[in-house]
Amino acid sequence: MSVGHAVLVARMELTHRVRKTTDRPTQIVALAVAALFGAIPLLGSIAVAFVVGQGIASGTITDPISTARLAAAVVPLFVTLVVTLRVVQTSGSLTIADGLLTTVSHREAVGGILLSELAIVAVLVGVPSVGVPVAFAVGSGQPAAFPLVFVALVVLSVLGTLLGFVVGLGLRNLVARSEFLARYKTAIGILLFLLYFVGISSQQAGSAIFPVVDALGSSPLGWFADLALFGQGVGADPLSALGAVVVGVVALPVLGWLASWLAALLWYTSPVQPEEEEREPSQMGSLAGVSRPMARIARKSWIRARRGPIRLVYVVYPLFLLFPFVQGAVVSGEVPTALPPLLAFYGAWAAGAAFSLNPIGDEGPVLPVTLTTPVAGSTFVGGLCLAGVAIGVPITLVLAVVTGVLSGLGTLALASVALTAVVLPVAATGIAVGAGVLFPRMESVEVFRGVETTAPSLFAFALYSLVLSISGVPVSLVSTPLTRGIVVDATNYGESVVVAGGLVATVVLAGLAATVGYVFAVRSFDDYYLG
Amino acid sequence: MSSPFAIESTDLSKRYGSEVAVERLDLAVRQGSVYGFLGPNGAGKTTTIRMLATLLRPSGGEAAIDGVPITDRDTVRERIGYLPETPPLYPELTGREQLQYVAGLRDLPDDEATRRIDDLLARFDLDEDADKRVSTYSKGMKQKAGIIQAILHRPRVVFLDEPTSGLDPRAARTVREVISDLAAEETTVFLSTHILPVVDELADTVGVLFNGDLVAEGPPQKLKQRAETGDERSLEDVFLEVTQEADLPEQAAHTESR
Ligand SMILES: Nc1ncnc2c1ncn2[C@@H]1O[C@H](COP(=O)(O)OP(=O)(O)OP(=O)(O)O)[C@@H](O)[C@H]1O
Ligand SMILES: [Mg+2]
Repeated sequence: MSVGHAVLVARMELTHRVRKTTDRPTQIVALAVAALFGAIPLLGSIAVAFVVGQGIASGTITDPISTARLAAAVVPLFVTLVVTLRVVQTSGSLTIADGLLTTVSHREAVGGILLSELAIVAVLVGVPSVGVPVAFAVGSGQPAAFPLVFVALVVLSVLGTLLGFVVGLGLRNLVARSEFLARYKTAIGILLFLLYFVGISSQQAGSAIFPVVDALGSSPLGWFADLALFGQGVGADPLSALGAVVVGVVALPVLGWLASWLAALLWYTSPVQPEEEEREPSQMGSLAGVSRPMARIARKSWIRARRGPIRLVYVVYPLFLLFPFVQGAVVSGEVPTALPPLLAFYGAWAAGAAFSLNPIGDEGPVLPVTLTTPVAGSTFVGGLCLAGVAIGVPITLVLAVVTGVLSGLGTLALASVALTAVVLPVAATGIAVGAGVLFPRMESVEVFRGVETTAPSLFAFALYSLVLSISGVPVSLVSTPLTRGIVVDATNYGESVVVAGGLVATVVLAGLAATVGYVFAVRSFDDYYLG
Repeated sequence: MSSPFAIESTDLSKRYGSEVAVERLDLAVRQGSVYGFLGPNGAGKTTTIRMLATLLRPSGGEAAIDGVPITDRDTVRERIGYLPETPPLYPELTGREQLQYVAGLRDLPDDEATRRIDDLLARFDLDEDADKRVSTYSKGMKQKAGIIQAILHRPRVVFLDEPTSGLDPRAARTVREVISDLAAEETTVFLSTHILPVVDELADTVGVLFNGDLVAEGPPQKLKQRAETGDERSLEDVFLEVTQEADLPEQAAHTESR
């Protein structure tokens, strides 16, 4: 094992990641936002260290050592979580695995990505690991406190990183070996994320986390607090401090060895492939009343979506916005009247977003063939729209009408919602193809948990969602009792006239936008050149 | 309109920014012939093929396929088949679904498509794997599916960009046979490759592209004949000679004239 090789691997890995990030403006913005939010707890921890230091010096904090033990547990817990997530998502696989593993040993390779992760962790906890000891030393008025607190923080961070590698690589190994996990990992991932989301939003998170931190604080991890505060006269136990040193000396190499062993296990296995093809008869078939090329294009979209559902994971995201309504409905046992129109709108949005938001980029490597067949733009674009309409309209209609009846909408409002649920999805696909052709996304991006596919561009998303929302404004104004009342008062027309008017306005707006989008997409496809 | 040439171009050029990829290329490929398109890496072969297949807009010049100008994309696309350098397949589909899909795009009747697909799958030894997903295919299997996809609709002109790359000897043999058969049925085959024996065996005409320029053209037999002495040399020798860096022969000319 050569440290030089590991450092070289780490440098390449970091360069690769930095370039990959800086090549995309959206990534930079996301990073800046994350940094901004990250700065808050960071500055907070420094402030807390200062106050705690002062409190210890003045004797106002009575039992500082047990608080410090909890803090000593939180640091590695946080680092482990972050690193585990990263290992599962990306850093568990080597960027150019075949090339690297035939050049250096897997120990050097894993050493390399460990170092690169440590560099990232160092950025994450680096500032606090200097700032916290300094603040503490200043607060407590004892400069001698700095080195021990610093050492304890560094060792805890490295421990957390190694632990994250072991857990993350362990999970990856499970997925690589279990056909069940391999097949349902998307669904499981989404489920876990939903659980997490529900946990956060239900404010029960605290009661779940405190016992864990408590337990960790009284585990050997807590001894690092004794090490950090040793000689501060706060009741740090010398035996525990010594224990922390022993734990560090023993655990670091053991975890390192484990990580390397798990990495070898993962990288030299060929992961199980969920076999599905035998179960489905392979016939592209046709659809009644639709030309063969168009039907095939729609079917191809469906097959691709069914076999690679991860491609469509972004369609689920807005559901999180609907979550409060659904939760409200479940808790109170009655469906809010706002839900049916919202579902109609979401259904329309999803119908357009699923198959038609990146017509050209979605073709991927097949684009040269699609372009050298005599398929006309109207057939190609029509097929993609058909894929969304044929699935989107029935589902949206059923959802909107069922919730509409349950929420006790009046006949007029129900009819308006039903009509919206039919018209808007159709229009949405037209708007989507236009936006998708205007802002194509050719390169693949990481959409979810380390999976790369061609996702629509953010600009296409934004334009599409904006236009669709604007088209939906009139009907939502007349569907909401409050605003409907205002409109009725302002115009002096009867309620049914106002509702009909809103509906017509939405149909006209959406139809217009859809026509423009569709025609633009067809023209662009017909005139499309690779360069 | 009946032109004796399946592929014709005059002054066909392509620039990427200031970089010249193809420079004023004149081509005339006879109906039903096999044209071997040679040239070092980066010479402009793929660029030329993509322009002829209506995928790239030329920076200058014109070209016609089967007498139809390449600006009339709809008509040209009905008459051509194209195998790009990387086989164009959806990883999520099975081989058979992919072929059915492309047959559908070309609006082949279902039973006819099924018959042809089964025939070609068997011919390329791909029938056993036809119902597996493309993502599980080996490089050669993908290449085979790509070739089948390019000739499935019996086009008038086929562009094959390095068709034998990644193929085992048997499959490469099959490809050569298929190309001969296509030519026998009056299909014109325009093929780029780095494997000179393939061209030597199959091509009626060989063109050597170098820095975007056609530096040699003719039947392989004729090219191999040394002009001055008349003795035979290999196609490889010809290739190496005509694709030497331009400043070398120029320098030689200078020293000679001095
Ligand atoms: N999209 C592009 N942008 C800029 N330059 C390009 C682009 N595509 C090709 N080129 C340049 O055009 C020239 C010709 O490339 P082309 O792919 O046609 O070569 P080729 O003869 O097919 O080579 P090979 O044998 O390696 O396949 C090269 O110099 C290449 O760098
Ligand atoms: Mg090429």
